[in-house]
Amino acid sequence: MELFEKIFSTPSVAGYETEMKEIIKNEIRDFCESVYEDNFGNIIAVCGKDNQSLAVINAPVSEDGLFVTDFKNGIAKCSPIGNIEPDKISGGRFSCSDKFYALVDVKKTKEEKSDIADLSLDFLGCDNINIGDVLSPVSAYAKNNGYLTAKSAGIKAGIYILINVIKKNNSQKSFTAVFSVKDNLGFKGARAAFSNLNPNQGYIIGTASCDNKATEIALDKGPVVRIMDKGVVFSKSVIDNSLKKIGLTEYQKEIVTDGVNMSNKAMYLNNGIPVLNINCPVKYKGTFNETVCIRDINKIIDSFSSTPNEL
Amino acid sequence: MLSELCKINGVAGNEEKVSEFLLSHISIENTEYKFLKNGTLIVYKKGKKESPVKFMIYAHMDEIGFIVSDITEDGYIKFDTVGGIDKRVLVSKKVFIGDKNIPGVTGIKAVHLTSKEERKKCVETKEMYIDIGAVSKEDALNYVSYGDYITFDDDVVVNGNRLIAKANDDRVGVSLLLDLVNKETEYSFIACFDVMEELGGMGAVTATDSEQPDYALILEGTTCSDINNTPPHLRSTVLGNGPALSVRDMGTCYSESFNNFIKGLADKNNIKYQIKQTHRGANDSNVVECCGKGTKVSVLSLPLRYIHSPASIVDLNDYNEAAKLIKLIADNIGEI
Repeated sequence: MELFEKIFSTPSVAGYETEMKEIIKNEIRDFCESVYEDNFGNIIAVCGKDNQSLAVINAPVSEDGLFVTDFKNGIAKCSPIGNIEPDKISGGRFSCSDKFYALVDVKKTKEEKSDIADLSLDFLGCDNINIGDVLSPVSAYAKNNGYLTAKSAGIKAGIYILINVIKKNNSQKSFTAVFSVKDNLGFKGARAAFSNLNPNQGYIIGTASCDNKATEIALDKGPVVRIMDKGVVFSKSVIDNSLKKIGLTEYQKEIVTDGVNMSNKAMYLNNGIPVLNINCPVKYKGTFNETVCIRDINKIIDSFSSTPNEL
Repeated sequence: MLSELCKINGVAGNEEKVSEFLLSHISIENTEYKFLKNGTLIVYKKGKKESPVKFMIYAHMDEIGFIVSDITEDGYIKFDTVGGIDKRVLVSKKVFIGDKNIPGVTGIKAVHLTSKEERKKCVETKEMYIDIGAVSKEDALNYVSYGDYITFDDDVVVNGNRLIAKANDDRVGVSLLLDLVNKETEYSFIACFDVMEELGGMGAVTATDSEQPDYALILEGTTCSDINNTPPHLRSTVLGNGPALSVRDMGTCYSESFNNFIKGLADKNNIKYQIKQTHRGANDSNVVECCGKGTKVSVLSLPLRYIHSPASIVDLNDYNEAAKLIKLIADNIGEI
């Protein structure tokens, strides 16, 4: 199975990322000086023999999921893990180990905002479900004309990118790669890692939604650099210096008016860590059919790999 | 012990009386302690063996309450809430103000003066006042000062296996932890009696940064709505079904491995526990998890009906089951 498919079809619900972490460790072990799991559960990979540059490249690992809050007569009620929007998952499938079920539509009027607690999850006769069981989203992995479609494709693209940056680097340049966990619950994994590693420079590989017409972000137009969001305006000098280091000249610009990401937290950590937020464009974000473009993914990998500069 | 602790007034930011009580009840044998600058009390408990993992147990000393924000010309006390309090439970409640415990009662405009529309709405906190019987601002200032802390009536009622009190959140945790500190344990651990959880967990942040534990267990009170035809999946917890472990809540996704370790101990020793059924609410775990070098966190919480009200109810069987489970965790943490 190719790496894309392996990553895209492996569950990694926040707090339950063990299987995904094993894949990552096995992929990168031969291409870095050391790999370990920190106390929070993040995977830390030390790359390059001289790690004095203290640059950190971060990709989040955790996807959203559900946990069972009640189960009766084959029907489960659930609460969210992460930022799941009920309207985007209605009709989709989730798995609990190898037990599948279909979601039933929420009962609501046009005026009501739906809630995860309103969803009923039909386990189709399976009765071996317990309160507290964690459910991960399931969808078919599809590759079409250079585009990949799967649940959590944005997060999985970030994992793929960082694995390949490490492989292509092959211990030449020095940096520390952080595959952070539970970032969909307040960027906690990345916060703990950045706080402990205290880098001079951070690069965060995230996602940029193509669904917001105001930003005009599109697939197949290259990586997206965040200029501003609700929490922070990125310093022009930080952006310019960071882009110069990775040799990235062609990119889309993103201004987000309704959210923040880890970059905002990093700038408050220790003495203030300068961060470049370099994002992979994602269409249909938050649905079972998140879509990313392989050419965008490769451009981000190449930007880190082709430059002779230290990061 | 729990009754005594619940009677103490310790609104967030003013927990000294709780820590004084703890110091007077902590056995000096095999313990050392220190205070952080914000008032958090850290107790180092020496066990029979040193644990290969650094283990810290947290319970917060503070409770929800109010603070005097203004005094009207005719002697009524205006107040702000400290911590999250449902304004629906505030009207006509007995309260105590300041160190002298000046009694008062929360009041609103009399019903015969309200319009039909007003009677349909919940009264906003800013429209309420506390009546201490003063006849003027000058008179009120003889008893009350701006910034005085206000607590609910400290009456504690035990009804069969149920204990009703204002400060079960989190004196249940404090009492459990105090009890454990005074017992002999297999492994050493750190007890953290922290401040200001109700205001976001400042005490837990500093304690975690200071001690950097590997594993953290949070002892808490949690939501319980097992009443009045609440659908099962929205009950959160059920009184009498044992202490609750959480998969996640609004702040934290709890450690799967630590949760499994605790469940294993409970199952092996026939200790009753439940899994919290909703994700609402948060506690010190939210900050403990990502402070220091990152911490593996579990929460063991006691169901509290009417939490954050003048009269929350805890089931003493749940308390006893929690006490047994916490002792087992402390005795086995070295084998995790």
